[in-house]
Amino acid sequence: MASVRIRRAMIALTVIGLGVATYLTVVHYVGFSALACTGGHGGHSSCQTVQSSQWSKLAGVPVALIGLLGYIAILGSLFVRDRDDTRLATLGLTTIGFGFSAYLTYREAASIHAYCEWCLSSAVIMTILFVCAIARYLIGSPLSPSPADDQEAVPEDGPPAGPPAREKLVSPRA
Amino acid sequence: MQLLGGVLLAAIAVVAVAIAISSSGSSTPKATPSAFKGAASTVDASLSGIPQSGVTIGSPNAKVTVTEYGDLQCPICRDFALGAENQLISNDVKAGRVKLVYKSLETASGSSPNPGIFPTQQAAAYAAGAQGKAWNYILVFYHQQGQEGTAYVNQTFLNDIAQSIPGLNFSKWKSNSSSSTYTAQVQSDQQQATTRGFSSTPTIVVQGPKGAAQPIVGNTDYGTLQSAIKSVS
Repeated sequence: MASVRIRRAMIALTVIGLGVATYLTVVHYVGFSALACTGGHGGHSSCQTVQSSQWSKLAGVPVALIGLLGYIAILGSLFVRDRDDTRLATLGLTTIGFGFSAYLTYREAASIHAYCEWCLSSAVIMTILFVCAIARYLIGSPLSPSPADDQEAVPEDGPPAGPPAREKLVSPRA
Repeated sequence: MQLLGGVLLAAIAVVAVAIAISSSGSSTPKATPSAFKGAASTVDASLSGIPQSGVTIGSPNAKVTVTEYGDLQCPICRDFALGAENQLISNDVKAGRVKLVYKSLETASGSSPNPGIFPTQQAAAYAAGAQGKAWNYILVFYHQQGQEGTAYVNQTFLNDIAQSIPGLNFSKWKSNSSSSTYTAQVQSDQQQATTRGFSSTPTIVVQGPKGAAQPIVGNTDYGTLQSAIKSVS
């Protein structure tokens, strides 16, 4: 049961993260003046500062868009049949997302000196997803002391009802 | 367990590559003489044939005046200048329908390690205006703009811009830029912006025969500028 609950929680979190990443991606292309942000920095919002910084793109691609694709991938990995290898895939994807989110948060603190709430919220989501993915993998693995949980958590006939799951490579941020 | 280790190693490798790309691929500014020259040449070509006087570019007879309140260290101003404003200059200003005025409002410079550089950097652009090159200076600055919050703006940076601009007499610019006339003009702009309740850059004011449009704040698009111009024409 624990595995089922974790997966449902992860799906819910991923959908929220997907929403954040989608919003940031849209704002990136529409214009930063549409960015709702409470923090101020140098006469514009701190989100604008972060989103327009040199770290807002990776090889010319907005990191918000990369985050969006990452969340889609995580969501996808959560919706396929629950097996060791698919749990491992989710863990791998969330490891990438967590690692790059941590790096981008470090850049906000050490290089940009401004924080974007949207980016931070995605980083928090990605951190929780990473922890959940570890727990889910350990609980559901054959090494687990209660493999029955895994059986119950993963029906053989297909994915459980609920929103589609995917995965994220990096968190959306500036 | 081997598979787990492999997946985690692969994930860490992906993150490491992403960080390496992110850290190395975007250093700013490109502070080499050729980079300044390249930017100045591009700007000079785009402004060619358009009259400039002081901080104004465009025909004195243009019915619509677009005023930008900006900070040369503001990255949003840079995005606006190299985007919608560039289109505005290429189309409406060049055609004589609009004249564009630059005014100073300190925002991003205030968060730099040397906030005191703000009047100096803005006055440097105004001093170029004494030779009809203010907008060359402004746009080259935006092209070469560094990371917000860092100390890339210093006298050398300002000199490099001036030296890169074709047709600008450096000695004359140097003399003018140290004059209190232009720093006073910067202070006056600031005061005016404060009086009007402006606190963000860029803030764009569009005025025409039918009055003034609602000030536009932020990196707007060319379509929005056109709509505002049409509403006051």
